[in-house]
Amino acid sequence: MSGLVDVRGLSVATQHGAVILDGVDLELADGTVTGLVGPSGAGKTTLAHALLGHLGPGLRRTAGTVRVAGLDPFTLDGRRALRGRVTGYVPQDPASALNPRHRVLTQLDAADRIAHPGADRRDRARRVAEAARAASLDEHLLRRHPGRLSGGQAQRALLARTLLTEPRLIVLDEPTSGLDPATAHAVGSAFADLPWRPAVLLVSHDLSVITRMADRTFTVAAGRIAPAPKATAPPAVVRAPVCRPDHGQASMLSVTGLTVRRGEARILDDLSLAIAQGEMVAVRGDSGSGKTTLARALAGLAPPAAGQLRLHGRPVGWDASARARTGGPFLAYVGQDARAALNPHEPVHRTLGRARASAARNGRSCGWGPEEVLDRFGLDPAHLERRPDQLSGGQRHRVALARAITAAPAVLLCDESTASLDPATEERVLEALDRYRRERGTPVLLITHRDRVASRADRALTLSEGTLR
Amino acid sequence: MTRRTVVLALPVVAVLTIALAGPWLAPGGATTPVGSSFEAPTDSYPMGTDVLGRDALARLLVGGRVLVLQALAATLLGSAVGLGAGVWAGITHRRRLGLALMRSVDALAALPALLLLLLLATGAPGDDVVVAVGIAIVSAPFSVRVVHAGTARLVGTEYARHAAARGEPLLARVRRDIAPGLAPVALAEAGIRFVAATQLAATAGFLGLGAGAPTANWGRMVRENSVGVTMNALPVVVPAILLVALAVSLTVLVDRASVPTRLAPERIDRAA
Amino acid sequence: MRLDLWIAVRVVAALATLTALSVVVFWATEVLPGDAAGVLSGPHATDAEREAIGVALGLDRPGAERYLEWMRGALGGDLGTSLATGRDVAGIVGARLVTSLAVLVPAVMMIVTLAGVLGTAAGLRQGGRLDRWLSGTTLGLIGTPDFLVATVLLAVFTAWWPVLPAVALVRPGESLWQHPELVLLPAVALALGGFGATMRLLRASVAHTVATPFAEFARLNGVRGLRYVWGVVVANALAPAVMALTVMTAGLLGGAIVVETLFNVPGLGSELTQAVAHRDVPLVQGLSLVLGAITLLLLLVGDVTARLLDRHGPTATGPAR
Repeated sequence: MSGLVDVRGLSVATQHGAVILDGVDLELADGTVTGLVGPSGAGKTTLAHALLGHLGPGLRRTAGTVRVAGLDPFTLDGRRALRGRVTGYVPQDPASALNPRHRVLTQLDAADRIAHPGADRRDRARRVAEAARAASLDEHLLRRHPGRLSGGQAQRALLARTLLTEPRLIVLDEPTSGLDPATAHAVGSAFADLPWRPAVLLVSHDLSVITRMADRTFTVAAGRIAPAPKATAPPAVVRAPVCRPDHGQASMLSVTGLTVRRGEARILDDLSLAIAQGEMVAVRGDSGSGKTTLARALAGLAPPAAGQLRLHGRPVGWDASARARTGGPFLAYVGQDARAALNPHEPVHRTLGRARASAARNGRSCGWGPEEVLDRFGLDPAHLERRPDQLSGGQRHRVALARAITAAPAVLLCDESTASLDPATEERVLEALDRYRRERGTPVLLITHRDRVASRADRALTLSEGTLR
Repeated sequence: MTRRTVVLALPVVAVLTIALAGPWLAPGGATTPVGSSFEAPTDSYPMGTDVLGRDALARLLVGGRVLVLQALAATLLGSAVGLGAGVWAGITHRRRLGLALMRSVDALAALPALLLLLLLATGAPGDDVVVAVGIAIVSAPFSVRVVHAGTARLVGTEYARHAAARGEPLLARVRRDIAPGLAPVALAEAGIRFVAATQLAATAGFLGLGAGAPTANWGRMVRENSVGVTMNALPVVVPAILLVALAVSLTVLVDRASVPTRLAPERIDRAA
Repeated sequence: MRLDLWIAVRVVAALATLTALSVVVFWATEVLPGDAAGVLSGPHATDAEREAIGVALGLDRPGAERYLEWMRGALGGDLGTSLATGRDVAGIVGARLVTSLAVLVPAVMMIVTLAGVLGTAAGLRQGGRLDRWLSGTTLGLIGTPDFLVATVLLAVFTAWWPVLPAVALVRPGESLWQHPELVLLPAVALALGGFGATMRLLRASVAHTVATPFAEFARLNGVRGLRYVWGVVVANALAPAVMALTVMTAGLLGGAIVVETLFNVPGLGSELTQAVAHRDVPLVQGLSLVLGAITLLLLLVGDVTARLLDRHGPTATGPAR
């Protein structure tokens, strides 16, 4: 027995025989922090849950053993002895992990009963108070129901629970997803530097988060486990290569004071943007910086909390269908999920036909016929007869673009629309977009994280902390 | 169609055939006595006689058509109302009006179904059409709710929102973006409502609503003949089995076909 | 929305629904063709005789006027007199209500106990043997109309194996409450009618709770046994369960019409079917109004209870209804 946790040749499969874990070996020693990364569906959560003797619905263990502190969590007795005493589990979303019916104090008390059965009542109260203090959870928060805690407070309640039960093995499932980098780091180090030196297993899909906290990291892919490659330096923030504000040119689209809130946080904060006729502007930024939110707000699909939008100097409402009813302009949005954007029951020719009819109703025309627009995006006319499920992912993206252009929008908003294309096709699509905006004078907003796409634009802006710069 | 589906569909087809084609197959009159009451089955009267000594088989064959036609008419009428009101409330931009409509539907659904049926029967006694209309009225709220929920889901899809943003006319959006996705939901919902409607129609017959006494009706057969169940059980048991077989196999069929639409049978049961 | 405001809105909505119901009741019984004058005067009466009776009943006045008069009386507890017996409708309704409750209350208690225990057990172990067995049984029960369940019970326990009385007749001066053996069969018939749907709704509610992140968190951190079932699952499944139970209870009023008629229980339901058969318009109106009012009151109480239970819930928006 070399460590606290000893997994030997663990294999897990679904009822139908699909292999989730394939002969996994894993050892965890006291006082070490181990990271587990991999794409979703690779089996990392299944492995983490297996240490707790839990398998998801429809899964079964086909081979191998798991020992935690010498006990088998897959037996009833092992589970009873381990869960809540030797092992502690901290799930992805702390706010939804607490029982909404009971006060925090009641839940901490119950956790202590499990970890230290038969203890004296005064000892228990003292331990709970100490743990809450150590997790900097105020006393008045203890009397609250979880529904009245913020995400951070719920996170601290879980930390208090962990401090209270002092488990020798802590399994952290995606502890930092949905947190900004600074908070994620704080949370990670709080769990990584616990005084009784437990073994910690960190599960995440994000390698950069894990390598900062973990002593060693494994990747899980297709049910197999392997040591992760040494972490590379975090990518340096690349400055926008070109920045040519077109002074003096009357802007066709202008946005001022755009603010989007999500709960307390401001995703976009008093953002301003102006785009001239026929201009192509790239917007870049980290994931989660609000790029998609910006594009969807402009398209009228997710109206913001505040802000003013003008086209040709005239104010335009935020809601897309209200715009359409009042004869307002159409701002086309082409997003990342082309499967959702296309009607699954409709062949391509009808999709484009409807877009043409829309343009005609507004007295506009894209100028390109269905065959021509498909050809410009590198699609065969034979695709006109196909439905979305008969197209590949990249083809669907191009059909979504073709539909947007055919509807002759006032502005075209492309949100990573070319991300799934191979370089040659991407080049062709960008060429088509470039030509289109030059011919028709339609402004194009390109949201991208790639330099090659951004370099196509007349200028590139970066979205960070809710504003463009 | 899997084999199980076929096996499940068989009772449905059989019961509906007996009910609809029965009056043509009935041997002799269903209202004239042929013997004394509750006689045991014989070769000429395979189900024996009923409480008034009438041929029970003839009454069985005659007594299903009205019930099934009532249920069918009520289901179609309810679907028409449900599709009209549900789709409109789901897609309209007049949110308050849509909400007000759904609240009134909730209020209507709060009333006991049998109470409304009895009230209508008081107003227009002895009328089978009124019973069908009554069943349609009490089951329509379910249809409106389900269709509304389905429409709201489809209106929220990315492609439907794009079409609305492009300013496509309402009817075109309903036809292209809503109808194809809504069809399976509406069908499953209609199936469940048809089951409930047959039960309500049978209950109406049991309570003596609709066309008057000598007319045969499966619900009324159960009522009339329950007193003689020890002498001749067939006039009670056979119509009961037909009703249950229809309800259970249709419910299971809908349940299997509509797993993604999540229409549980218990949702409509409280209307029945 | 604040709780007291929310409750006020619900009460107003229930009152509005009751008002709408009273209009429907009045319209269906007074304005539709089967009018009281025609019934009272008999099928062979001349038009003049019919008209005379109509004038005597006040039917020549406009409907709206008569409706307002009826409502004014109803608010003061006066529901008119029965055409058939000449007795006070409010008095009949009161007496019948007590009898109906003698059957309804035991039936509701049976359902709550059985459906509560079995629904929780099935929901905790989804796909288990009990769950599968109950799923089949309840589907059969749901597929069986109330009147068939009642008829089967009647046939089995009074004809083939006569251990229980077929009709719930009590001597004058006695109450049905004093005779549990008379109540048993109708109550079981009623309970079986409501059990299937209720069990399935409770099971769904429990299964939904079992699948929540906080239930998984509790399981994976060693919460088990009664502490898990009661403190985590039942505590959180209770609000939707209360909704399901009140909807079921309200639905039993409809089932009671059938069961009472079949077992000759002299309750609201059997009185209503008889009144309908005799076209006793004031009695039908009074019974319908009271049945509707009870239904709406039950649903209101269920709504408010579920909301109160749910006030610490993650959404705190209250159940949609």
